[in-house]
Amino acid sequence: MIVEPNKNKSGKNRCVINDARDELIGLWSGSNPGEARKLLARGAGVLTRITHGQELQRPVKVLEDLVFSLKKSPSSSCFAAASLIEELLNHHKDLLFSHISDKECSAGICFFCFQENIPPCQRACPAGIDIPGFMTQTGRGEFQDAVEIISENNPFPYVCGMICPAPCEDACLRNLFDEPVFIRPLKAVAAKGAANSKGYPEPYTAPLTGKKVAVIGAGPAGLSASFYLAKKGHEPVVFESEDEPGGMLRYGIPEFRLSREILNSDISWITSHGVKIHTKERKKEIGKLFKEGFDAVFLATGVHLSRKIPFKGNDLAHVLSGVDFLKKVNKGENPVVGPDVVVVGGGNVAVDVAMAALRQGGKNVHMVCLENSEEMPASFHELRAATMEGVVVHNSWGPFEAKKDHTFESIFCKRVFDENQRFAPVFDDTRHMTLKADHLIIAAGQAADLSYLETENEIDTTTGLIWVDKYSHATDREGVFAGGDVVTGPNIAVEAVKAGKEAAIAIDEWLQQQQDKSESLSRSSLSPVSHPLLPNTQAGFSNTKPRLSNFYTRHLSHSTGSTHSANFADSTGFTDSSQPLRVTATHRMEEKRAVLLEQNPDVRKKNFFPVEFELDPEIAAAEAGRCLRCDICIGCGLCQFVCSEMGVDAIKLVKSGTGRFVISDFKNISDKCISCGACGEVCPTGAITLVQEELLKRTEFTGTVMCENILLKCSKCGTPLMPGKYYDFMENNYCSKSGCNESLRLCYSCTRQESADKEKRYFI
Amino acid sequence: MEKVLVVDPEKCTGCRLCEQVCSVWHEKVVNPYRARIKVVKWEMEGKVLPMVCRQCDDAPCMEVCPMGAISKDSETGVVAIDYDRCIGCRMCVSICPFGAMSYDFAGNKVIKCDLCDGDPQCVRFCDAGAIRFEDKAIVNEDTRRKAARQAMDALN
Repeated sequence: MIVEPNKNKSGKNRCVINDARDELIGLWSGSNPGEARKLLARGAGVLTRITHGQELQRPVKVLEDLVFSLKKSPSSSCFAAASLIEELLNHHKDLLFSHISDKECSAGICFFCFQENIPPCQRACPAGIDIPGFMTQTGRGEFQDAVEIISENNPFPYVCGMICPAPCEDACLRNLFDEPVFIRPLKAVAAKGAANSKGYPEPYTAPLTGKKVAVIGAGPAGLSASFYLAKKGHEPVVFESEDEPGGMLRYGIPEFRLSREILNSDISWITSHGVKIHTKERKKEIGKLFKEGFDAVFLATGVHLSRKIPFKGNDLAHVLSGVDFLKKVNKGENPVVGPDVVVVGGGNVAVDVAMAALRQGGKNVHMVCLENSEEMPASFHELRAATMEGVVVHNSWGPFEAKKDHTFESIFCKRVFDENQRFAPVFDDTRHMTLKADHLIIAAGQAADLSYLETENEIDTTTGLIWVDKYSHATDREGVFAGGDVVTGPNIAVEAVKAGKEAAIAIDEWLQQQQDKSESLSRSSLSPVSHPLLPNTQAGFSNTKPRLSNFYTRHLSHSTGSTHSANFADSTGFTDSSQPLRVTATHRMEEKRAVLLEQNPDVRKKNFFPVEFELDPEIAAAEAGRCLRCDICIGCGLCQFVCSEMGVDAIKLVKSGTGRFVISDFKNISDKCISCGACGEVCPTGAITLVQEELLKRTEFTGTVMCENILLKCSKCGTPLMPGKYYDFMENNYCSKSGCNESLRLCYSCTRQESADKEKRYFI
Repeated sequence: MEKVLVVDPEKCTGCRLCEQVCSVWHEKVVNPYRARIKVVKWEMEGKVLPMVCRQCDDAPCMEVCPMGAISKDSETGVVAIDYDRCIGCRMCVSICPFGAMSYDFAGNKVIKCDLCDGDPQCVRFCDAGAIRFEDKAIVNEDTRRKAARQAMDALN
């Protein structure tokens, strides 16, 4: 079974230590200021250190001390916390030790965010783009570097900046207290900025290997695969049956969403890496390709056929297929529809069809879809654009009958999915709705044209799609790989990019193995290889991870850096993406999500110019400043616990659903912070740094100054001492007891001198 | 049995070997700045006084530490820093009335004498015998006699 550690929080796998931590955090957050709260904070901090794999010199003693002091406290929550930790010490000692010394969690929950410091947006992005990294570079105006970072995982920076539904924005941790960072258009800003200044990054490829790979289909999957194959030094040749490359990007997405210049510029950059594209080339038999000298084949033919939905009259002449309609529009064949058009379907394709229908003669365009408004798969901003243009959406209606008199009858759908989230619509026979429909366009369901695989017995196509191994993207026929819509069914472009990229890595590995095999064959007898594709197929996730890791590592190497890396980012012109942007706290906290201006809906519904204007680079930079840099901050919460343990409680974080802590309130910090430096000391990744400059002590969180305090001076020699706020805090809370605060005004060498002077009088 | 460092300034030659061995023992480098013991000199008067941590019973550093990171070992009497808890705020450094603690900028931590786990290197290497490692009871006796002698001198 494949264990995906980040997903099983609610499932069967639980880690006792992590649970204890959660409970302790709960107790801590419910407590009132005072000694008990400090102790609970310490407990939460210690357990966090254990679950995040940090060094403790004497962990058992630390825990025992903690239990001892918790038990002394009269508070009931302290007692509960003490028994929690005692239970760990008494009954789960083995688990505790495996966590502390081996940094291993049998449930696979702990250490995850620390080892794989991948921020939520990057995790949500199917292609796995280093989103904070590229946004930082975009904000700096280093557009070429930003494109370089994007292209490590996605060769379509400009295209995805226009059309990606941006699953990353749903995962953005700003959602917890604000709107997410507007990630999607920043890619377009980076790509446009690069194209207008230094150009896209220079094509770089590994030394040529002499291996040829045939790629069938020049859609996003095929082009991505060939891009990364070319980067690895292979020679990809793409065969495309249409006139021009781009696949669904060109023939499925209308021009008003993605202009052809943008698509062409991304494709020409891909071809500049040595990718050859043969257009107007019919799909060949795979056997023939191998005979022609190709070493491997990648199938990315997509889903270009419309699936027929069963309802009465679905074969009438005025019932059109959505895919064919869009293809005709995009080829410039100018099909005329309307004036009354009904589009069946609730996905992004249906929205595109509806908007295209408006531009092709439709006056009254209605969308009819089975799902209710929450279940609808279309992305919100596209749907909004369509409704603004006058498209009427009818949720929860299913197709019933298309009649010859150009009317369309639909039936009310009570429920689309059953308890197991499987598609099982239930209709209400009593409720019907009739709409006028000169044309009925069916934009629900697409199918793959697999006729070219008919002679192939080895490749499994029983489901109507090509079956491949989940990780290697290999079909059952050796040397043949597949990916994109033809494997997954209709899906978003960036999923196809992911498939292409992963397949390229797998093909590269496979070619390497073939090479090794033939070399060792010629030398000596060969021991049989059990599975030619994956050397370590037994254990799932952890073994497939290294394959992707080379794409991730570059921008993650900073995460283990020292705590006190000063802010030399801007002063010396050092511009690595790991150096966060310098942003003020007010900006980071209060700046609202950027707004993308659109053409006036009444005007745009008659033309094919882009619906959305592009984001201004300055606004884009401001938007990039809203990013909280979750790649540097891992959200462990140690800073908040230590701040509470100090009795200051300046840092207050918001907890996300996955247990991450997110900084949201900079104002509370600057009001209460005494610049003690505890947060910077405990921060394991260097997200919080302390900078001392002459008489100022600054606490910074990934490029934002959270708090600035003036330091006191030694009353004798003038050496900077502690911040004034800190002095007051200490004097009020501690020094009244010890009564030796006169030495507080002196630096330690002056104190020593004074004390030695006193002693001299007696002894020498 | 609690033992402490006893300094005899009259015997000290001011060679500062103690500072060097201290830094070597603790930090593996010869760097008097990173030593726990400091020799204070009055060059014009020709006087020297090695300053060491007193391992106070009611230590101000221990009192003032907001994290409770400093504690006194009941057996050995060492006032020790728990670096797991220390946050480097340097309050203890500021408050020590003897200036016996200092901040090690190279290692980013506060440092104080820990009696080298019961074998103080300054004592071992002091050829002049200016620093002794002795039982607290004996020290008290010595101090008393010394004070009495001074009082007698003053009276006479």
